[in-house]
Amino acid sequence: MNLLISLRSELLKTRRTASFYLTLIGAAVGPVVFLLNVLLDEDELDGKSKDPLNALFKMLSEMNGVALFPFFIILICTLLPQVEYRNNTWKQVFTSPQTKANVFLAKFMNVHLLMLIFLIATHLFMFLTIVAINFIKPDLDLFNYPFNESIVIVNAANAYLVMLAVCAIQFWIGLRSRNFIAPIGIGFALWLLGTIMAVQMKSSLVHYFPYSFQAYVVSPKLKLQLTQIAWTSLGYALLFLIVGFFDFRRRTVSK
Amino acid sequence: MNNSSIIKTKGLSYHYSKDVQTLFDIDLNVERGSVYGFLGPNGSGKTTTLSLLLGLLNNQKGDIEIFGEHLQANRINILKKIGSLVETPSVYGHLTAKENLEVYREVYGASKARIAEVLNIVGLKDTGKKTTKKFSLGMKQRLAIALALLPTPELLILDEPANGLDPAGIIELRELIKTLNKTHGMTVMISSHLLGEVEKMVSHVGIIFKGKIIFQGPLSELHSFKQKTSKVFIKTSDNETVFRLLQEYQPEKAGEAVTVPFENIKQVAAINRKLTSHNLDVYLLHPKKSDLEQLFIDLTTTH
Repeated sequence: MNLLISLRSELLKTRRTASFYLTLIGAAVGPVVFLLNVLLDEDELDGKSKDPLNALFKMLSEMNGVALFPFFIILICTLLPQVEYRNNTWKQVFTSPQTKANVFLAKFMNVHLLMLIFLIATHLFMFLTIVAINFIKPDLDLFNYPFNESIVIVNAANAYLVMLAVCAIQFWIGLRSRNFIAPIGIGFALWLLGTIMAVQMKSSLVHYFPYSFQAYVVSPKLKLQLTQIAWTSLGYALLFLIVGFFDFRRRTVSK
Repeated sequence: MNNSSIIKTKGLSYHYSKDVQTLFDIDLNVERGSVYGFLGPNGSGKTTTLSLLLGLLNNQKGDIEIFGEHLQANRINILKKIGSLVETPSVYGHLTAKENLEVYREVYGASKARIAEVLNIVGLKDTGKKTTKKFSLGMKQRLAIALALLPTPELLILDEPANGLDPAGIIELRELIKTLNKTHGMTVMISSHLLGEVEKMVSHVGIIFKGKIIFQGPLSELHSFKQKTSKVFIKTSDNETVFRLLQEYQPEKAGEAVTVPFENIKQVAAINRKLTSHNLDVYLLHPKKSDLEQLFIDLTTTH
């Protein structure tokens, strides 16, 4: 109950913040890029003519899984704690009758809520994009093709699960850093390193490096180990959540 | 613990780094129902002390009891009954005044009606949809006070609440604190370096200097101490004779003048008569009553 009260408090703080707008704007990027492609390039759908709906959602899940969703997590894990730093409100948080465990978990749950909103919103926007294309180009007759919604859900769930580790690490860094740039810089640098490592595939380190895990969602070779990676990601998430909490519990505010 | 004490600390010490001790054996005693002025110049340890009382800093040495309970063991229960404002106001700039209070309403278990009440108390009920980043510093300070009042606290801890307020705002704040204390029975601990300001609203005073408490007690005790330190400045045609004539008053030389402590203005008249009766030309007879400001300077320079 107290945790829910703390979560309510965190949700109210998120109103009208950059975090909230970023969630919606970030979720729209993939569908908008696709819409522009179709509008500007007559042949965009040619290669997908046999199974266009499933091909479009596969493309969305790849675009989100490799880049947009990890970028979003890195940004959101930095932006959410920044609300307290920017407004000098940590002291108000710590002098209110909430345990540090509740504050920590409520903030983490808030991050996950925004991640889920991102995933739901991006698919919703994609659906709206398809409706729009169908309206603009009725001869494509998109809704007469098969649509495998279970694959869409599984892809989204996989994208979420493999990113749990990165989320916990970035949350820890974002929570302890007063500086806005450092956590984002660290996150992007590690993402780039992880992606390069995954593409090169020369080291087994890629199986243990959380910032490479996004590649397992899209790479046909790596996809075979996706279940194992999802568990590894969950394990890392728990580890860094515990480390992050003990670090957070030590925190004091003098000014 | 004394039943009338709402805050009691014993041997409270703190250091930010090993080499620099910030607080030394602070023994605070804030009585229930009092308005306790916690005075000291900048850097004397006021905010550090208040941060320890609110659990913002980890207690390193000493003991803190609030409402008769140990702070470390009962932090959450204690904080439920405390409203606080530590230095600069803590408000979310992207939210309105009402939304800022709504963030903490359920955390403190306050009713929705309480939000309107506290906004009314601090005069911010008409700010509507204006976000607090557009507020003046004084308005933010008042909102922070509204936030401190939200839980209808038994104890209000305010660290330099007059910062950023204009003179009218300071007067309003003073009246508000008096009302909260008298009408609502709140105990208030207020820190300040604006000594004259605090003097008008507190019942008890604690003076901290270089991390040590150098005075603590009722304001009346400080006033009687103050009276003892009022001095009359005298310049005559022969100050050496004055010094000799007024030995019973324990005179002191102060540059070209002689200073003599006095308790009431009749003593000054008696001194004047004595000097003129000895054919001395009196050029200056300036009774200077010590105000809290002067007393504070005296106290903090003699330690």
